[in-house]
Amino acid sequence: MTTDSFANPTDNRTGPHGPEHQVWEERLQDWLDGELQEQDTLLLQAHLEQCAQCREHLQAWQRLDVQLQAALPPLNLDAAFDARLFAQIDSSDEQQRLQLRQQLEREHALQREALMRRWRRSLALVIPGMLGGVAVALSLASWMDSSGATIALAQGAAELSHTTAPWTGSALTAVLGAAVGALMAPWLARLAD
Amino acid sequence: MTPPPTTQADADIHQRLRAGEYREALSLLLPRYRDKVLRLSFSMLQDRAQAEDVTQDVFMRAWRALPGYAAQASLSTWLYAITRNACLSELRKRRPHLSLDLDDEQFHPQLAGLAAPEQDDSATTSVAQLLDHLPERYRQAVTLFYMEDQSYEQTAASLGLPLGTVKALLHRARKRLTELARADLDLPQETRP
Repeated sequence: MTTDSFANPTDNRTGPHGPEHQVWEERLQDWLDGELQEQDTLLLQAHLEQCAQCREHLQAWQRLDVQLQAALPPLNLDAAFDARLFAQIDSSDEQQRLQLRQQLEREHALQREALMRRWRRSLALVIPGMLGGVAVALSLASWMDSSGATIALAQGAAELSHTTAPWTGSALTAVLGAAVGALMAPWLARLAD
Repeated sequence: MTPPPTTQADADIHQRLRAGEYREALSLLLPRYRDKVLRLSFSMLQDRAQAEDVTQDVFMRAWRALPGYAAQASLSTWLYAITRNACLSELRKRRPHLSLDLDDEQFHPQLAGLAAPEQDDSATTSVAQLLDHLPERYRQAVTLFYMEDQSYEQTAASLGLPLGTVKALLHRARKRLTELARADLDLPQETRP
């Protein structure tokens, strides 16, 4: 295929027509594309009868039209394309699932490790804290015993509840130990975090 | 999901999408749009193999994006936008400083001829070779117009341009082709041995 069949070698101007033919050129192309209204078609036909240049260019454009149609046939894809695409999608989805599973496993391992680290840190601080709390409570109870405060309190409580003084002393020691432990435990837990 | 601004032809696809049946939606989408996407890709890339690769890539992108498709644009508009972006990425890979905005004033048929990638040994040049010398936008419009059965509407929809713009591009492209053909006929006497 060659272009000499649609080019017009005798025409040496910059365009196929002079400026006065601009409108007719537009109409000519509209007509070629089947876009020209009926009334304008009649006007164009009348112009073509008296204008040799327009007739030449109409023929040139018609030949160009045929050559472009031949050079640019519609491209098509068949159902095999769909099959290839769905195979790629399935493969890609499987890879995505695998990646997601690996990611979840990694996140789970990280969470487990973080939890264990927190527990270890908590135990390392809370257990000594609890033991310290008990020691402080025992020291306090011992000081109260030596100062006579426990006996006085125990006697007072025994009079009120009609029970024996040694039981009341032990109970008071336990309550004091629990109170000190309860005060220290949250502070130690915060420290551990 | 709000009712999509779409043609009746795509209503079945939207129904599938609303039901979350993405694979079925893609099965309906493919036979309807695969050729159009291929032709649009070819019009921009001018290479059949690359156009097919891009088409596959476009539908893979569409597959991943279907769950998030908000139906603000019609499916065809959405799909063509994905295609144009994919082609532009491909063109940028080829030519990093590519500009697609060549206008009339920047175009010189003789310079375009000198900038041709290859010169044919035969005395005349095929219309397909002349297409290579057209500005990017003109070539896209011509290629797509002839591949899409000379439909202004389909060409405009694919390129995302107004109908009038496509028409103007096509008319100018035809004139350029005749000018290039004339210049090509002049060349043997001046430059060829």
